[in-house]
Amino acid sequence: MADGIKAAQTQAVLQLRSPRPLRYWLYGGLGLVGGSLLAALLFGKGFALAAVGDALQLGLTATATVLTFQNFRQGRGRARVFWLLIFAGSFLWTVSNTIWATYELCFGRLPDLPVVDLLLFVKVVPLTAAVLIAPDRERDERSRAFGLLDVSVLMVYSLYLFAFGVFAYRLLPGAEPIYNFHFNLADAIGNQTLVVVAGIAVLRARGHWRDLYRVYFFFVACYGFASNLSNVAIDMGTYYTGSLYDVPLVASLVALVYVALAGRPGEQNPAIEQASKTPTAPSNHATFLTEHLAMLLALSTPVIGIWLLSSATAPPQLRSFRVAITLLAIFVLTFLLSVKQDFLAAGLFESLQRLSETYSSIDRFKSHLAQNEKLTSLGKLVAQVANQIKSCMASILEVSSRLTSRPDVDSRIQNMAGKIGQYAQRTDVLVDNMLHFAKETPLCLAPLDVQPVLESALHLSRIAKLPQVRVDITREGDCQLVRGDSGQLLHVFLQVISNAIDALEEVGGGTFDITLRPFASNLVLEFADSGPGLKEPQRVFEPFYTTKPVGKGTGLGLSTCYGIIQQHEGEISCRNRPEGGAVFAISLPIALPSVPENNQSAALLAEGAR
Amino acid sequence: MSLPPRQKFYLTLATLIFLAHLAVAATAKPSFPLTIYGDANPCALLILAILAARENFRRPAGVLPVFWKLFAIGLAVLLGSQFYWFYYDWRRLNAAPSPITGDTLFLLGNVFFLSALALRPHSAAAGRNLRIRFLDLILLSLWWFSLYGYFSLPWQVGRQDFSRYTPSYYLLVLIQHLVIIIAVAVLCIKNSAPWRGFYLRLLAAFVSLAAGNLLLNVAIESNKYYAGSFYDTPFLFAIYLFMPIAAFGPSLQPCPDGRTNRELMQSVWTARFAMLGILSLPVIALLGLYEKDLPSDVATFRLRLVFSAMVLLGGLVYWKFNLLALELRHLVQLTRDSIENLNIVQQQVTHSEKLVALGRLAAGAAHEISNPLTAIFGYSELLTDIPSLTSEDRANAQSIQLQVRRAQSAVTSLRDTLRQNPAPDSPILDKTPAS
Repeated sequence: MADGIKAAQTQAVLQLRSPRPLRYWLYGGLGLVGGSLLAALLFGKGFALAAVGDALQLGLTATATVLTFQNFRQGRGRARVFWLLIFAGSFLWTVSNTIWATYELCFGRLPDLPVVDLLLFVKVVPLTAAVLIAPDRERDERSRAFGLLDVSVLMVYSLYLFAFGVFAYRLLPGAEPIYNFHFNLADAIGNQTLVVVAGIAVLRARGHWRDLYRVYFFFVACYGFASNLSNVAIDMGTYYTGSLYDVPLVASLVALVYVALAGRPGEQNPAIEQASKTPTAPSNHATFLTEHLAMLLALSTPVIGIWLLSSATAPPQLRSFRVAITLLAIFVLTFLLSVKQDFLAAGLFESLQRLSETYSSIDRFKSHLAQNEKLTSLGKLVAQVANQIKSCMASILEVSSRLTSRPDVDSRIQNMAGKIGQYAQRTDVLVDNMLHFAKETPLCLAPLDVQPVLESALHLSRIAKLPQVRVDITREGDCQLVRGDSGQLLHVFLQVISNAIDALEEVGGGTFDITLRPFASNLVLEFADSGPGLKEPQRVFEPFYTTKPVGKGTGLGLSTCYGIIQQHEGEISCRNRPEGGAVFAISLPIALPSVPENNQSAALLAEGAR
Repeated sequence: MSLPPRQKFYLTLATLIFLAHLAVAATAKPSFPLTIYGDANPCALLILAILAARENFRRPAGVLPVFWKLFAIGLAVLLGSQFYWFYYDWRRLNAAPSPITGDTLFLLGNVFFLSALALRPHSAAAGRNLRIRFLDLILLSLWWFSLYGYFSLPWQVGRQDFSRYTPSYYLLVLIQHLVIIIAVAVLCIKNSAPWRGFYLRLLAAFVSLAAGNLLLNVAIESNKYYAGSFYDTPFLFAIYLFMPIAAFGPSLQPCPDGRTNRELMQSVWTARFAMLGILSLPVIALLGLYEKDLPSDVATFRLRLVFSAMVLLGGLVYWKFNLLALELRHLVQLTRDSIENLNIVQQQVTHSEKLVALGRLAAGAAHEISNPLTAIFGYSELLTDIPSLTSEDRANAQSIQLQVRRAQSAVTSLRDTLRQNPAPDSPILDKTPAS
């Protein structure tokens, strides 16, 4: 078993790795990395190198953006959110790269815009969130929303921290070095967090997601290295676009595009679309952690505010900015939390409702059971009697067969014994039917002729013996065997007939016409009575729906029939005839031509019922 | 409506106190004894109202005991604030007392009234999830105090600036009163007798309280007020009205809600209001950042207050989330169990349905079976009549007869049972005599 799974996994992994675009991309990407390395080594700092480097980075990020957007649009469930977040990250990256390239190539200088820094830093946040959302674990709709909310809290919080610790220095004149230092620090912390989160994801995930996370981990590790390297290089003034510092960056981008390609939902790797459902227990743990982390982070903002007020060293300008963004962060985080509270309350609401519904139906079923106790015990008695009769018939059959099989006895005796045997057989089948009907036997679908079952039901219900009731059976066309369970179908027919009896009694007699006719691949049985008709035809099959006086109808009979016919993959419906009376139509799938093994028992059934 | 003797006594006493106040206010001139008397009046009335409310504590139904306890606590807090003034005047402490204690108590009293009303005492379904409910109420009251702390307190803590403290405090109290009045009015509209009458009386009391308080404040500001004057009358009347409200409490029983969901919806809305309240604090503080001419110590005090309040409120919300999540998990488990239970019962029903149908068939089955049995019996008699039968075969034939008789007697016993207690809806049995 385990081996089988493993084999399936390896196969899937091979499938994951084998698609053509992926392999091509692997070579192409390696080529790009090698090319950028060569270019950095061969060419010195200059416009051409910068143009090539910028174009390469922009092209790669743009490709990743497009691919992840496609993945997002085709994805399902949590994976969809995962791709959305990665798309957001790639998009932010592309925008910052565009600005960078525009400045460098068109204006001939590096951009000194806070926006670029912000974008550079912020893109890490959705990239981290994408992993945190744990797309490899499937959860129900509500907790998916929860996860998204918690992740938004994390995102808002990291933005707040950025504004608080880095961006605030932008407002101070002459604080450029502090700003740069803090920016690098924040960037490094963000990247390190991403690396750690992705690393944990690799360890935790199983199967295809693990492979995907591995590449993702490579991407973030590469990127973190490249980012730290270039940040330091920029501060030292040795960085220029297309230089050696950019090579790891190109490698990381290649990996990102690879992730996007590998995660493409579709026929190549359907596994990525769906989460692996096997590890369920730790997933609760993961959400638990995110949940509490989000809450604690939200709680920390006012504490930071208090600390801000008590530390008087910061310049007033910085302080007032920080106070303002702290208040803003508190507002946004509290808002997110109140949305979450609403979700929780809604869940509570829904659960309570469902609970009260199930409780009330349990009550109804129980009262139904109590109400039917008498009939149930009567049924048990009938079953007992039937068993008793069965044993009697067995010994009679035994004796009679002994008599008939002896060649030496008188032909009159043989004749009599034969007759006795026949009748005993008939009784036995009848009793068998009753027992089979009462037993909790699993549904056994086999080709069968419905007419004998129908006749047996008519006999048992003795509808024909009622005064002023005329019963007619019409067969239209060639009525083939259907796939069915004779005992269960007997139950259904009896129920429908007993319904008709009630209806006919109400108007003091009438006609009861049964029509059998093939229709498409089904056999349709129509039971038409000339009674008063149905009051609410659309509700007839609802459980507990009854129009009969209290203590008479239980309202479960026809709903049970509905269930049985559904199990037969057939249909039961009812309507009122324009000329008055109700029609119940049962359609059963015609049995495919095969060995009609049940024919014999059907014949016996007919025999027994006669 | 008849009142218990003790309640009758309280009510009479309260009426006498109120009438005496009217008489004294009409005749007496301002003096020290009058001040003491005037201050003692609301205290005495409040004590009586608390005593009357106490009689309702031991009510078994729903949230009513909790409601009356909260109501009594509100009255007691109000009494505390009144007693505070009484104490100052009595000790002839002429130096203006710091208003913080008395005012805080006054605001707190209203919070308790509001909390009591939020329990919706008229509903029998109320009282579920009381713990979460109380958390919401605590959140809301903390929010009120944060507002008081934000708008009024800074003008008393750092600096004694009554000109800025008093108006904001008055405004807050007025808003609080208006909120209570609106809440009671809504309850009044949404309910029918006898709860409508109850809420109408409460409405009258709170309108009178709000008006009386406003009048008092205006009179104090314009220096026309002295304790024991007619300015006290509406306020005293409001407190006096609490008395019969509490006294007639026992005649009220919670009535079942038409929809159980309403109860839940209500708690959802309480939670939303609480969250809205919390959300408003950072917004107020943000707007406050741009307020001009604000002394820096006031601004710092406010910010510190808002941050502390947010820590406190956030902690409570965190706790509440855990409670909610716990509740949800519990409920989900319960639901799962009950669905399992339902499946089992459903299976039982399906089986019993079959037995029922079999029972219903009993008469037909008995008839169907007895026919071939009669035939077998007939043939076996014919068999025994055959002269050429060997003794062994005769024994066989007799054994067949014996078995048939046994089977027949089984059928007969079934028929007898059917005759003794016919199946409830076996039309066949009712119409055709068993043959």
